Amino acid sequence: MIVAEHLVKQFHRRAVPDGPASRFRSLFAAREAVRAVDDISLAIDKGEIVGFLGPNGAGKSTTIKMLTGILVPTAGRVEVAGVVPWRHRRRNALNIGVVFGQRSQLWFDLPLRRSLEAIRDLYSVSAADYRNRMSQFDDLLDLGSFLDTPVRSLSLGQRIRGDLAAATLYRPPVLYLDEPTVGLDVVAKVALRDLITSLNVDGRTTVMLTTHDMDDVEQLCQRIMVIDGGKMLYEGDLKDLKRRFAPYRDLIVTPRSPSDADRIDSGLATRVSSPGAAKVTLRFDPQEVSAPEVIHSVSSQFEVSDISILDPQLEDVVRRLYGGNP
Amino acid sequence: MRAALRGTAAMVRLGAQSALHFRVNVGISVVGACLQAVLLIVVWRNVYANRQTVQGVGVDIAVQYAILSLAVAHLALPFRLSSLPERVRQGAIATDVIRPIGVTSQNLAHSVGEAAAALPGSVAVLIVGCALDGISAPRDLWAAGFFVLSVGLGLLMAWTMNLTVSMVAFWTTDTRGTFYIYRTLATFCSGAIVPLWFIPEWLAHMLNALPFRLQIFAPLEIWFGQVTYDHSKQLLIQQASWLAVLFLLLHLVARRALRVVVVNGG
Ligand SMILES: Nc1ncnc2c1ncn2[C@@H]1O[C@H](COP(=O)(O)OP(=O)(O)OP(=O)(O)O)[C@@H](O)[C@H]1O
Ligand SMILES: [Mg+2]
Repeated sequence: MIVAEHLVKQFHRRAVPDGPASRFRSLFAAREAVRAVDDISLAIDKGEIVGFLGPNGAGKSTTIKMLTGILVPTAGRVEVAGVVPWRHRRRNALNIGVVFGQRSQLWFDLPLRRSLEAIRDLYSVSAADYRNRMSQFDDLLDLGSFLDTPVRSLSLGQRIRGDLAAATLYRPPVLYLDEPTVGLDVVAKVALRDLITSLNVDGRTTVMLTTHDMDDVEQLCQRIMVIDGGKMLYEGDLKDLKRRFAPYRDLIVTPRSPSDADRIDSGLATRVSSPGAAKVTLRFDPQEVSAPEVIHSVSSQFEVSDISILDPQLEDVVRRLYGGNP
Repeated sequence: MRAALRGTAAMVRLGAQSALHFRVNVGISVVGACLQAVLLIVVWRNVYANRQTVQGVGVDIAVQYAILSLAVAHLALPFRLSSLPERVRQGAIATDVIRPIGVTSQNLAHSVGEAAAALPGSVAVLIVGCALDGISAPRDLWAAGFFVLSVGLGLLMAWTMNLTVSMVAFWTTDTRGTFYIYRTLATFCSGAIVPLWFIPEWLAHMLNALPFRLQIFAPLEIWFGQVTYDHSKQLLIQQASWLAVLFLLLHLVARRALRVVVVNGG
């Protein structure tokens, strides 16, 4: 559905030299090229939800802008639903929906309803479809409670819900979401995820999602791509990623008597919690030793009041990926 | 084609809604326009208190010119030239680029809609003019027909130029200076304040080379029957040709502007 090959985007900015009158001298400075996206290739199938991750400034938004046709790539090839986005922007427009969390496509001064009506006409949505979809939005996003409020006076969460409705009103086969959950409360996040899931399941909508919220990723995405410095760092299954970059599990042990806390150990696992803590964390590699073995070894030596196993957190995994030390 | 029409109509409606949304603003602009009309009528009648004609123009014509030019200028140069600068500042323009109709069509349609909100003001000016006995019938039906056509073309020219100027928003965030200069220039050169009969000949030659004259002065020349039937047709052709040139200019500027915008923001 989305195919990109050797995508490159180079920006130019003037170098600002140090020293006196640097602002003035910068007018004459040579322009330096910045590669925001540097040779990225990707392929996303119809009906997939892909998480597009990377640290700040990695080039995620720039990539999305090229895939949507807002930006013209410096080099490389893009095709979305059989259309080259930047070359045939209007044809491409009917195939895609876009939400940028930090900005809005809605008309600022008018009630939200007016924006949605305009979108309905711009994208030739029939009256019946419009009615159905609006009632679905009302169910999932509670849109009805602020339909008649001017967009300018909406809260951040309401505005993003409005933007999501605007981007999906005409049921585009491809949906790009660039940090759609930024600043949303827990309830709004769940509502948004539900809508994305239902669009994906019912309409086989292909979704590309950028976010810094790892819960979003775990809840929604089957596959992720991680980029940094404009280059693809990792691409693949979420489970594989965890296995590769966090090949361990943690056993959390609470001893019955606190005095045991500093003595607890097992020859099978490494102690990673700091001395003095009430709970002890033992880390082991599930490839080498099984969880029951570690549990048995600990509980046979000490009296424990609680024991639990923690899967590696995606946050940790991603932090290690970004840090470049797997 | 039908889809494009429906989209364009939606943008016109949106423009009108945006402008009419600020009811107080609409009310104030109606009051302001009426005030201006009354003042102009009073001043012109005073100018003519002791003479028959000024430069060959009689009092009835001068007063009538003032009213009609005010009514047209109110539509041609609305309060807000375009909503484009605001959408550029908000970053909404990024999504406008990827709509099923082009950015220039969207904005032009929006401007047309916004001008509809200036209609109450224009109508009020005409009512005031009639009430104060300042308007008389045109020479004949031809003059009236050509006048309407010519006003339409003139307004399209004005809106196209307004939008072109608004595109400076892509390069500078603060558009007030540019808008002020443009508004002053356009108001004077189109003959919206001073009828162009009263300007010196060398200046008239300069204005003839510019498109502004055709927005307000030319339609009024037709209305007053000051030009022959053939000349009227010529003026309409000139308007249409200028309109084509201005459209082209708008597209060129928009192309460059979009190349700028597209790069901005993250
Ligand atoms: N118009 C521009 N001119 C120059 N450099 C730019 C421009 N737009 C983006 N960049 C640079 O390109 C790089 C990638 O930016 P981008 O917005 O794609 O990052 P991102 O992955 O979306 O980051 P974030 O998580 O912070 O949103 C950054 O270093 C940024 O400074
Ligand atoms: Mg970003």
